[in-house]
Amino acid sequence: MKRSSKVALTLMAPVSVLFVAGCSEPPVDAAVFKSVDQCAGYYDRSNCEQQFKQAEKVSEQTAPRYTSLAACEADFGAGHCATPDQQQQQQYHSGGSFMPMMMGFMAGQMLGGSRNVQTQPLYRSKDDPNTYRTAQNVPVSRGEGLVKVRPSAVKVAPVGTVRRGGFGAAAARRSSWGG
Amino acid sequence: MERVRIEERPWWREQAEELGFQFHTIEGEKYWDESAYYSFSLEEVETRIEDPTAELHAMALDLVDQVVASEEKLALLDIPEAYWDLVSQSWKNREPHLYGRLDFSYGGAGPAKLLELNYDTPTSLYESGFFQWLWLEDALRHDMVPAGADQYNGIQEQLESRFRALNLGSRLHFASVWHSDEDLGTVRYLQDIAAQAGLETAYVPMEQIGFLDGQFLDRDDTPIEALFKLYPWEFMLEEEFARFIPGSPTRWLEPPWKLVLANKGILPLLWQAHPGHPNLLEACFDDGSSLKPGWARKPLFSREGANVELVLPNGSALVEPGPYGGGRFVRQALAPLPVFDGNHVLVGSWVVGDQACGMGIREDSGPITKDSARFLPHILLD
Repeated sequence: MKRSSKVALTLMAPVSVLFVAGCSEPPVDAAVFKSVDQCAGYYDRSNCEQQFKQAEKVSEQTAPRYTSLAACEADFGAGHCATPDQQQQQQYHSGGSFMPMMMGFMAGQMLGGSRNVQTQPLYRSKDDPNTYRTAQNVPVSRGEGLVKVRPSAVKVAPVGTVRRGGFGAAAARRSSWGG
Repeated sequence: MERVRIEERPWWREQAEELGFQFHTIEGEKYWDESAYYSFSLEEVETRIEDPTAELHAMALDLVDQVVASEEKLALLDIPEAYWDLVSQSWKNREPHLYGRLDFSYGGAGPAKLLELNYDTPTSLYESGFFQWLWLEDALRHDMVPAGADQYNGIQEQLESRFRALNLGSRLHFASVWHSDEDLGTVRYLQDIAAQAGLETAYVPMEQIGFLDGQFLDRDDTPIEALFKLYPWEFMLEEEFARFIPGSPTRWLEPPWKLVLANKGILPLLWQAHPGHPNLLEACFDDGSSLKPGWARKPLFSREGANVELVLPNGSALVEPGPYGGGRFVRQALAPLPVFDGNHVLVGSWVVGDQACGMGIREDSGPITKDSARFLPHILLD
């Protein structure tokens, strides 16, 4: 037999169950830690370090930015803000800026759990210091450990203006790219 | 190899539309054509199409090694210098590729002759892998073809297994230009198979890809970890976001090294490496002089027959207009497409991963196969 033993499509056909609109988004598992050490009490340390680094990277990209230290500390408390180092500034933003320091991180991908929760930094605000919040100021939990989150609520959204339209300019010239 | 006329299934249009094959008719012209099928023997397909496909594919991959190691060759293929590292690094990292299609001139006599490799944005995949498979199922069920007829078509099965093996991360984005139903159909098809292979998938129109802080993003600003794009590399590299590609973490399907093989400059290089190979046509880089009878001139980057020029053995010349007039050209000895019932026939032979796995037949009213060429199903009989 030279043919595929069966062929089936599950998404292209309009009766697909996968396109039935879900009304409520189920919460999924994630874990909140204040440090790599704490994480390593539960999971493999190298994995924890990896997740922490990922959160740091996301922090560089998504943390709220302030033009003055005072403005940042007004939201996050004295001693809780920093200037990104010179290299990061060049890479991600021009001009001086201040951002809150990461107070913990949420690990989305180490539980064998949902891929829908991205690993990301967490912060604590001055007026609600016991609650971990995302860069979008969404409260996640009051303590560390396993948490339930709705993926769309904790989606990592970069700050700044997304540029679009940088691909496809040649598209207007032809109707199809097939060869 | 034989062309057999047959009744169309009365329900095929309805079936096509129900199953997402919206482009079965393009601008009022029939694209899917089941008023006839091609019949091959199993032995014929295995020795004349499948084996040469596997061999030529391996020969082509060998050439990538040489090309990326040679600045002279990269320049010869019109790969922009700013992206030589991108291309060669992606090859050194052996970034995985998904698929390709070899187009042959073959009419049942003599060896199949390779006309070109479509290794970056090959289409007619849905028709080859899915819809002609369904056609045969129906045709067998309704005794329209001899009992026991098979098809050279493991395409969808191979695609699913390839998606499982890709190791590009958990989520794969798919992109095509927004206004092309045909491209969207192909991309949706691949997305469907990827989902069946257990990948999380998402679609983003090529024009809507965003960029911020070193990352490419989809419409929801979710970072694009890996992207299947039905959009040619040579155009991407000319566009505004091109300069962000080397520094971004996005993985690409096809990977940048496919730029080497999606390029008709590979045809003279193949001929130089394997002169006289029975499945190759003599080829060289174009020197601009007039074409002799029995030769074709093709742009390095061209799709669907655009800007191809032929001088037939009798001296009559044919030119297909198109937008690819600018760059360098290659010339290739002519292997005129065989004619069955007045139709010029092209055999498209599929490679998924590194596996030769299926075939699709196109018919055109003229000797240059264009995007208007019709797709016909085929069967295998012992």
